[in-house]
Amino acid sequence: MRLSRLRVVATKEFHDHLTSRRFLLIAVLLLLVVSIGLVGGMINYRTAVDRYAGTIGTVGESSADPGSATGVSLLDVFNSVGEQILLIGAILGIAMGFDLVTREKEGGSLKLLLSHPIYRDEVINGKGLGGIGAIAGLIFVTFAVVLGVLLAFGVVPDGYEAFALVVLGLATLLLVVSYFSVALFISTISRTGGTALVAALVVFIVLSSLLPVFVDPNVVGVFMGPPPAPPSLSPPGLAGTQSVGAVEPALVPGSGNGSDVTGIEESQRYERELQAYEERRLSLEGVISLFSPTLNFRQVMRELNTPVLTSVASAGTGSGLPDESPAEPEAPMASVPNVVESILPNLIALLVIPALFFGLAYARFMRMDIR
Amino acid sequence: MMITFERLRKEYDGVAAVDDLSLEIPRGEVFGLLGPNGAGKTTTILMLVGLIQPTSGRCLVDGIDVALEPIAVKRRMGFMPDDVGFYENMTAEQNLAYFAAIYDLPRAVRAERIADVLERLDLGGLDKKVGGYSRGMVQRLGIAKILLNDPDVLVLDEPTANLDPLCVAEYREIVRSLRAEGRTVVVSSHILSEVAKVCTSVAILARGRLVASGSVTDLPFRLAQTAGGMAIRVETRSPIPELDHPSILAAEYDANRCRARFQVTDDVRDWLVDQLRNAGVTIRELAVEEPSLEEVFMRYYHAT
Repeated sequence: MRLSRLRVVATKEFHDHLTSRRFLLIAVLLLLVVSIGLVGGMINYRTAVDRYAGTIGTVGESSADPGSATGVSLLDVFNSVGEQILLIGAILGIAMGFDLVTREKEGGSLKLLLSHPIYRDEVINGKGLGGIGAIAGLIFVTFAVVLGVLLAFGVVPDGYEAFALVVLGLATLLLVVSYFSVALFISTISRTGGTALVAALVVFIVLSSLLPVFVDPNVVGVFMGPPPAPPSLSPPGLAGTQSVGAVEPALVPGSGNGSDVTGIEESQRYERELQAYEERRLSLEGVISLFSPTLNFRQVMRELNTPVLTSVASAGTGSGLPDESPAEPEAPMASVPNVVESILPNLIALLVIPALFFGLAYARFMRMDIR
Repeated sequence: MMITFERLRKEYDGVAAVDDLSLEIPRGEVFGLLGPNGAGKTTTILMLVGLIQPTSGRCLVDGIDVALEPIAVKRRMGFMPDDVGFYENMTAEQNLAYFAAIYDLPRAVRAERIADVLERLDLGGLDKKVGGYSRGMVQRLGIAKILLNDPDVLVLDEPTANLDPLCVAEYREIVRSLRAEGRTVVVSSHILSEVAKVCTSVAILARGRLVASGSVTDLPFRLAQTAGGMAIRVETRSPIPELDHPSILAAEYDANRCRARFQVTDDVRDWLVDQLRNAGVTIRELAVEEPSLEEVFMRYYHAT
């Protein structure tokens, strides 16, 4: 493979994307939706901060970081546009990739291009790189706009929020690239652009709507079989078998009784079995989730928000305002290493999915008869 | 030989699109691949330019195996497919610049070549995007493109399909000039008159197999031989004497013997001219009534 030829193809593809009406339309839509969502989110954020400032004035205290204590984090603001980014990003990826090969096949330019002294891998890699470059450019602009809106509202993200913003940007890039790769692969196996579009939409629906159904606890339960049955209630003395969490052997009265002991053992076994069942269910859910770019992206967003939400839950009353005892929150603060650890499988999945589909597209393109 | 096909075979789902094709094309020929739709012309050409892999056999261009060294072959080759398609969002110059960038040529040389071929094909100074071009202009751009790398071999698949008569005339001129420059040109077509007008040699394909090949002038004669003879028509100013030659099967004279038609098994024109001159007969016209290329094609095609 010659880098010069790869660069020629990638540059042309990058330019084609940036000047295509389809890309520009979706890009404008993305920027518009993100901007409107952000502005709305920021107005809510400012209102919450002002309300908090009023409350502080009442109790005569101040806080150096009003945002974190009001229960409204900047991450909530990002969250408010996350679903839109998810939907438009997936559509963007599919729109960019579904006819990348079929269009050239149908128009006859692929035959022309490949009759030149260029290897096929230079063409398919160039197409991939050009597309990823255009996506990266758009994501960068989008997040620059996000940052611009934040700064326009006089909000400077703290360390964790800046980290979250970068990770969210990375996850968005990987999400769009995932759908782009899926669409590119479909483009290599389809005869026409129309067929490719239909196939790409079907795959999109499967990955974004059908797969999440299989992650639903009830559906996962169907595949795993019923959960372990609770032990039958023994007459006197054995209370609390209705709720597993409430079973505390030490609290069960009459512990010298032989039937009570058996009942406790059964309850403990049931608790262990239920716990194992739940672990299997969660792990199955996790595995299924890894196959969907949509679910991985959602999981990353959720994990990025979780530490803050935990903090809010323990610091406030749920209304976003501090309770009467404004003590230091006991819940753990957002920890970058913890978050990285929790989102790493999803980020890896978001890397593996495009790599897998690009690999399939590559293999197919290399062996394709150009007729 | 500039191009060699060695026992070339291509199968799709077990069905042979090209079957055991062996053929040699000398340097400097304008070679026509003739056959109806589905005869295997395009499949043969796509294997020649390295776009599809043969199931067996091989193609050689100036001794280089296309499958083993595709880049080396493509550097010396220009290909215009039947459904030639350019990037419609780009101008002619931008399209050519993109394809030219694939060749390892200095930027200045590329720019010069692009300007030259655009000028030669009368496409210079067009700012319009290719999407707005007529079919004829796209075809001209296709020929401009194949000249970018100054190739030794040009392969044109159905080059006159969908062209108007003016464009066809232009195309013929271009092919003649390419031949005059010593390039080898392979043209596939199902339009017999087109092949007859521009090609020096021809191969007839039917159902993926080679059924006949030879020069455009020889092939009808060979058919005539295999079909039991051809006719030579002579018109003179004075009566034609009795002529006898082993190749003359029969002779028909008109009433004053100034016109004759000889049924022959071989080309005896030179002998006839000598005999008539020796007899002091002035020849007004001497012509061979040979089968047209179309007759040749139909005969061979139906024989398979």
